[in-house]
Amino acid sequence: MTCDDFDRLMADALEQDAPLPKELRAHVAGCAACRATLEALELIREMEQATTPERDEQAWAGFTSTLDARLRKPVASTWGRRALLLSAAATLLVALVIGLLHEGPTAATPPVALSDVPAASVERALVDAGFEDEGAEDATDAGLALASTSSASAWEDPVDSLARELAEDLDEQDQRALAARIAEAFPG
Amino acid sequence: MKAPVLMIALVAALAASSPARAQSSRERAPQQPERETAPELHAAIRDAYLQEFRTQLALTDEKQRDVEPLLVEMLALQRDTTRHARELRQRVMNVAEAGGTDADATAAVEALLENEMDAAHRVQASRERISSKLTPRQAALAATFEGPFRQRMRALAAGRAPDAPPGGDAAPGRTAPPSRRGMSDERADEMRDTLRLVFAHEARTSLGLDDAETLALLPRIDTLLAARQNALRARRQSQDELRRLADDASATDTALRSALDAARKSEASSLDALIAARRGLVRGISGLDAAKLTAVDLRMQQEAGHRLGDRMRQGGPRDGERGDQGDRPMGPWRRQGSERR
Repeated sequence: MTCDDFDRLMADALEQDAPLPKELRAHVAGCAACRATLEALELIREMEQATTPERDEQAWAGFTSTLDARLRKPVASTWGRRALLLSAAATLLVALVIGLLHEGPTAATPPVALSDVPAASVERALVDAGFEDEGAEDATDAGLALASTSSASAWEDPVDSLARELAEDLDEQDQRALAARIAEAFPG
Repeated sequence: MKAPVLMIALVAALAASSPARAQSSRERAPQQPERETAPELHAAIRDAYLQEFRTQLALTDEKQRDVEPLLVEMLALQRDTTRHARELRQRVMNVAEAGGTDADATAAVEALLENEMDAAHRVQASRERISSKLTPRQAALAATFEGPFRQRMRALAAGRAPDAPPGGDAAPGRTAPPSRRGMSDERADEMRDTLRLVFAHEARTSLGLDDAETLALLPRIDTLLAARQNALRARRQSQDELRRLADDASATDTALRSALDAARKSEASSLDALIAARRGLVRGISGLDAAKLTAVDLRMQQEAGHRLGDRMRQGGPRDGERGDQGDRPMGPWRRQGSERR
């Protein structure tokens, strides 16, 4: 069986929500690439289930105990990597709940920004993925660099992008003060 | 165990009951235009940029008169292309959020990609006009001065001396070249896998994909991340080589021209691969889904860029620069597909 056969047959099996057929299991046992694909899909499903409201409390308890168990596994193992992602998902959930508790839910102003999930999850997942190593900061920066890479460096206005970056979190008065400092440092 | 269960249940309930989805104070809603910066700040950075260009390239007065109008023209072109690209990104975001016809959505995504390619070619032509007025060494300096300039600006914004080098041993007015703290292949793979899964999860959520569809999307995400990782690595290598030659007094014009030519080709090739991967990501799916998927990509890209900028400002003048300038240490890309049988 080739990997393409595997993709096709697995898609069929998933569509029918059927257990993985014997020949697919045999292929997965001997093919690291397809095993990784299958694991990735399982993890994505778990992440999705973590934000699906229909699950009952018993199911949640099962999920969290599994999560706890996985978080105790070593980082370098396959399960460790999966745990990192689950850890990221858990951290994200915590962040969302903190937002909920902090702002308080009202009909007029929903308490947290679920559409912020990509941003939070990207950084959080990367931070978590490097938390045990010396190069954690480099790994996170490198991951953010990879995630933010675009064709923009070929045409983007460097002045505008720098101004936007430096102005982040500065009010207009602080921006003017920074402009004065720059003018002083570059008297021209 | 009760607490996590409660947290997850709360989040789940929230997800079900808050379709409006507010934004936190830190984040911008995708459909809102980005905030404008103070004109004074923009003008100060622009003046500093022009001055740094003159200083780093050691332009004579005569050469400056020749080159500066072209540089000003290029900055104006880049400003226009940036604004136009922002409008097109917004259009995709709006279609993805608010819906529209498939034709509208397809047109929005296509316009975004076409514009990026076109903008890159026009800015490249402008760069060539400037390079033609410079010596090969000056052209190499022109191609590499932006990174250190950004670090000086960040240092100023953080209240440090603009000449303070990240490594502590740079000549006055110059910042040290990036150090190379390597990342193991395993770490690079883990990092890429993390991004891959986060991207897939966001796409699944945004488009409501089932398992089979998510599975089908994974190789496309792999291709996109591969194109990004290759582009980052190629840019970093080009920048390193140009910087090395520009600083090497014994480097010949021939060697410098050759490196400049290689950098141009590498940039063009990376651009083609990036655009092709983004087209590949949405190939064969409906216009609306293409817009949603592109919006996921843009949002992740934008927010990762913001957060990288935050980290660099907070961490001082680190060695490296923006993500899309590509000089962070990266491990080699090992595509999953290459191991397939």
